[in-house]
Amino acid sequence: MNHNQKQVSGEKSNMLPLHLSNKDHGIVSTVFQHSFNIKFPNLLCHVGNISESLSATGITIDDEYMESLLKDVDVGDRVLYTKEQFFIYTNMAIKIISLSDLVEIDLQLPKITFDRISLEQIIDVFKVINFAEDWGLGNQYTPQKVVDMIRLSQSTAEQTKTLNFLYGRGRGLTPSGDDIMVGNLSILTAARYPQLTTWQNSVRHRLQLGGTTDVSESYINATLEGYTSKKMVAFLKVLQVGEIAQLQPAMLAIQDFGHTSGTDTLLGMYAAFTILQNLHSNL
Amino acid sequence: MLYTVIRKNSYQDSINLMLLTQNISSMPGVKEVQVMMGTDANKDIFNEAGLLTNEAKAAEPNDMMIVLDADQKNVMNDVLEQIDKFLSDLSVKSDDQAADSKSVTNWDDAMESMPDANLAVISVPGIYAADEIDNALDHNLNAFVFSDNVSLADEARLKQKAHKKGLLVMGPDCGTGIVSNVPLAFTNVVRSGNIGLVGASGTGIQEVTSMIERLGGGVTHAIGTGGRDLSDKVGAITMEDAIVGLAHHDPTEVIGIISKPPAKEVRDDVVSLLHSIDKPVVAIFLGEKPDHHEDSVYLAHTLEETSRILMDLSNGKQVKDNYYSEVPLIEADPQLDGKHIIGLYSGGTLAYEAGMMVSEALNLGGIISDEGYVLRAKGNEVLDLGDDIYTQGRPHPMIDPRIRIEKINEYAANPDTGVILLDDVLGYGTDDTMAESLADAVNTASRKHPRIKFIATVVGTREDPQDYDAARKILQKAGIIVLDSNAQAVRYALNLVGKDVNEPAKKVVPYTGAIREVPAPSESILDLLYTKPRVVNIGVAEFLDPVIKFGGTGVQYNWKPIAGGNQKMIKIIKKVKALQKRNDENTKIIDAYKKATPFLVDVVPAGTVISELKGHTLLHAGPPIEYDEMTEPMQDGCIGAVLFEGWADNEADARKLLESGDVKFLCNHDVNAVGPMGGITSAHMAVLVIKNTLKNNYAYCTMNEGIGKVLRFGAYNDEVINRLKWMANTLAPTLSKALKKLDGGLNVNVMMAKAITMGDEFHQRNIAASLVFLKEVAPLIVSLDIPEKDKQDVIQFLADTDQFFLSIMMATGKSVVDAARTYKHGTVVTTMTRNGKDFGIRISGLGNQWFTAPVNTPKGLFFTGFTQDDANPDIGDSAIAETVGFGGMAMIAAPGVTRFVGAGGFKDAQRISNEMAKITLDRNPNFTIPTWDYQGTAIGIDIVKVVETGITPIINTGIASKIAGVGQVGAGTVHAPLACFEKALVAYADSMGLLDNTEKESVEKDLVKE
Repeated sequence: MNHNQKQVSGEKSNMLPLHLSNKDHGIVSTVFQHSFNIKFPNLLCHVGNISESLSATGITIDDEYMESLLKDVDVGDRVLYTKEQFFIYTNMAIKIISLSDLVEIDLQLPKITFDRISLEQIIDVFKVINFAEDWGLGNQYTPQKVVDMIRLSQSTAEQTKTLNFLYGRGRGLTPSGDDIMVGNLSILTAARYPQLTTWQNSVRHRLQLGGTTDVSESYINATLEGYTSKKMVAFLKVLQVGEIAQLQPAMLAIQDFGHTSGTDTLLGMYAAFTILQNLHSNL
Repeated sequence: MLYTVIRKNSYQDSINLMLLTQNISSMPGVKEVQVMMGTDANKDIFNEAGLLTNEAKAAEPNDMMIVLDADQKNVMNDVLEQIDKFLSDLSVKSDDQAADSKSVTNWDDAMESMPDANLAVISVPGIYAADEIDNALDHNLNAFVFSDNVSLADEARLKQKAHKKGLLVMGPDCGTGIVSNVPLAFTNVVRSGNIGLVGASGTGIQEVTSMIERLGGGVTHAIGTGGRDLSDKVGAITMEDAIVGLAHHDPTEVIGIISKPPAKEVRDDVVSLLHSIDKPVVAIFLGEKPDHHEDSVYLAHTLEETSRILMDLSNGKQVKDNYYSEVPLIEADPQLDGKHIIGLYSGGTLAYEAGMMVSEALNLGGIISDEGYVLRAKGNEVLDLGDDIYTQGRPHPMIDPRIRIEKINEYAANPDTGVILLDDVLGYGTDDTMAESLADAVNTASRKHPRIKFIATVVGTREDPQDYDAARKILQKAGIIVLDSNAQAVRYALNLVGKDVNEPAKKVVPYTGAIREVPAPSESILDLLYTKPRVVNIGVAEFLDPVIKFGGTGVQYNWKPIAGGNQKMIKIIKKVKALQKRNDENTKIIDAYKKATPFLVDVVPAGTVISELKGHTLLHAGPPIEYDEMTEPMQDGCIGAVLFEGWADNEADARKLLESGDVKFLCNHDVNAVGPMGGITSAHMAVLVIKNTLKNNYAYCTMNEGIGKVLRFGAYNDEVINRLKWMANTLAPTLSKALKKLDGGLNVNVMMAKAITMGDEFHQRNIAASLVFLKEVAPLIVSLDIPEKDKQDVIQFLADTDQFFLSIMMATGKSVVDAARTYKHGTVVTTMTRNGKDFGIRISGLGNQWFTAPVNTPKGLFFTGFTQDDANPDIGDSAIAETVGFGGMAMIAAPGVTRFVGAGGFKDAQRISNEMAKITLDRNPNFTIPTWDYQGTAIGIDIVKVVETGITPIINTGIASKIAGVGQVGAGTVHAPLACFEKALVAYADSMGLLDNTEKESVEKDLVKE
């Protein structure tokens, strides 16, 4: 017998089992209009509705149940994860989300090559984005300057300097600099960039120093572990398959995330593609 | 001087009446007043209070007893007025609630209304509680039983039954519970959390849950077991089933157990179970002083310690060795040296805890249980003012502060008193202004005795209906020292008198006792734990409010004791209801009602079809009666019949003949006939002939004579006799000839089906049916080869006689029941009739046997110049209408009639018909009523339902003058007397071999007394 009050439909990231242990206790850390976050010891889990993109560290559930949850769930509510269920202790009732009801989605960064779609073609597609207008770092800097800064960061010292600039820069739950960093790291990981480890180590080091939001930190960690959002996976799979016609829609789907987060992520991705282009042209 | 008012059949639950008594006690001129239902137990309370008057002695369990001690008689008028106001406020509230939630009056409707119910909340008087728990379990519901006074044997039996069915019985005498965060009865509002409690103690649960909430934790379930669950007779059935349930309830990570020390074997068994589950447990057996913990079972000494260990476990923290401050909470007050500690508690477990701590600290030999005292040693006294001794006939001290105020004054005046401990228990069910009442009392006492220290604890949360912080402030403002827990309050009191508690550190030691396999919980219990409760709330309506507010769903069962609380009758009902074939048998009777096919086939002299009408024989209405017992309208009808038949020339001779005994009387019903009002029928009077082709049986009824001076109301002047002759000589033959033109007669069902949609109920209103009849017969009459004047007269008479169809319906009803009566089984009423002295019924299973009881007198509206005093007692065979589902049973079909019969407006008609449907078994689809959402008429009055509900059929009727010759004086309604249904039920049970001689004699003796 399923004793849940409601059979939930939705999706879950395949990264969750790596960071959730049976009987983990969490706490509702933030509640938004359509979603909320639960902070567990090793995971900041995003609970969103199904119309949002599944993140590496989250789940999505159907709108009806999400609505009923949001009526009761409040910041500070305790949460227990046990037997593949979240038990959220609200004022009025225990709210249950059964993860076993959700479809698991593979959000590991897929390996990409540029045999079918060349880097030039990809970079061309990125040119439709007006980064200067849509990104989150305003007018103080130009997007190209940031891209160049990343592209030219070859040594650990340069990377550290770049990361110091980006890390936690900007407003919001995921500061723009972090989104740029996540976009960049995601592409480098998927492309198996030879100096990836150097970048990863630099990022890990910077993470330890702190200075950004929990949510952002969580996404950066997920990227370091090779996980990303469902939209990023979809974009990378277009590259894998070589469906060039789908490239722009997949890219624009990423842009349609958050206020500036999508554009910022795309800028980081663009920077990574220019790094890869340099690499290929030097071969 | 004592004044008594007995309100018959005015049931109210005991809580309402206690609140009412409290409300009226302070009225000017009232020395003492008590309002209670007339149960034997309540009479004992009246007796002890010196209020048991003779009138009160005679009250029945369903009667409300009001006894007032006052110097002035007119005080009673004020009291009655206030009672009405109080109760009408309740009913208004009840109506308002009804708009939001459902309410029912029996189990069948409750389960129909809420088929997925999983919990019965039972708060009926204790004497009935066991039956309702049984009913709940039979409907596969868990039970939360607020009611007390259930025998220990019943408790054990019911819990065993529940266990076998995989259900929980929480209680009896369970004052507190939380199920899926829904507070039940007297409970605090606590957020959800990973702590689950099982407790045999009401205020123990309240203290622990409230503290956990205030410490930032949460409790999702707090399952009360009732105080006797851990007795050796019950064997902790509920506690163990609840523990097993919580052990399998994934969101519950920590379990708390609260109980007084159980019997050793039971304790060992429970502890063994606690060690067998894989969740940590905190157990307090209040009164025991544990010096260690055992593995994952942590043993606490006080309720506060219990809460704090639970909180640490809930937060994943290590359990500490000691939860008590090393230093006293306050320095000793030299003024209080040698003074006594007094505890005046509303919460039993809080009193118990206080008694235990004071006794331990002062070495007083332990707690006691003696007339409300928990501790009474060397001047130190702790009272549980919620003990039965203080609550019989008055509200609990959590609701009513009076007893506490009395005791505060009493103890404060004692020069040896040093400290008085108090509790203020908040939450659902408790008084909203207790803090104010206690503060006022303490202010008053402190002014006179400033040396005395008052210390209090407030049991509650900030989410309770009362404001926890405000309550503390009110108490503090009055100079009361308020502590965060009862244990702290008691320790503070001890510190003030120079003493302290001794709470050594506790280490965890290995458990060496037995462990056992933990059984799987039932699906029902898991469902209870994982979902919001779906409640059938039986009794106190207020208990449903928090259920709805906190996300549960529910139906209000406005409970009344069945059979008016008559225990002997209740037993008989149970036995009869257990008869396996009865339902099928009743269905056969109902089928015969539904399948009846009555045709009006002829109109003939009665003597030609009723062979018994030979010589000087007259038929009368109602059950058998002799001439000298008849009321005047019937006697005078007999005179009219004698004159009509020519057996005498004048009234005096006619009366002489009748008084001589030379006239034989038979009741209509015994000769396939019925007659309106007096129902007097003689051989040459014309009768309508109905043939029911279902069984090809015939039934007869005299024709309606119109209004004004008529024989059926006892008039017999020349006008009456001449009309009867015209009816016999002209009307009858004309109609007979007309009907003979139709093959098989006139289909009555068709006429009635039309007329009921046109506003007739066929007893008090027949105008539509009479016109439909006229529409059918007028063309036939016109076509007859008879004098035109006869045609003219007959049609004019039919057009003028609105109630002409009444007699057709009556003969029809008789033909219907007689066809059904050929099957002699079951408990369906097949006859209801009245002779002005007795109301008589027959039932399907007992053939021609009559069951009678004195008739009631109809009430209603009277013609100008007449009043209720003119009314003759109920009379006539016309109740055949109600027997087959018409008349009062179908009041809603004829809203035009309801005002005329004094029943009120349309909603009253609807209410009456809905009520009548509660005593019937089925609907007749042949006669659907538009104003009743096209439901069919309610048919098949079941004597079991009548006796069970106390609802008797309502009869729409004309009212005859009790004075000879006056005739009809009004119209109204009258209820059949319950006693004839009770007699029929007893006889039926006896006929089925369900009664032994002692039972039969005892119950028959009671019925005779009635």
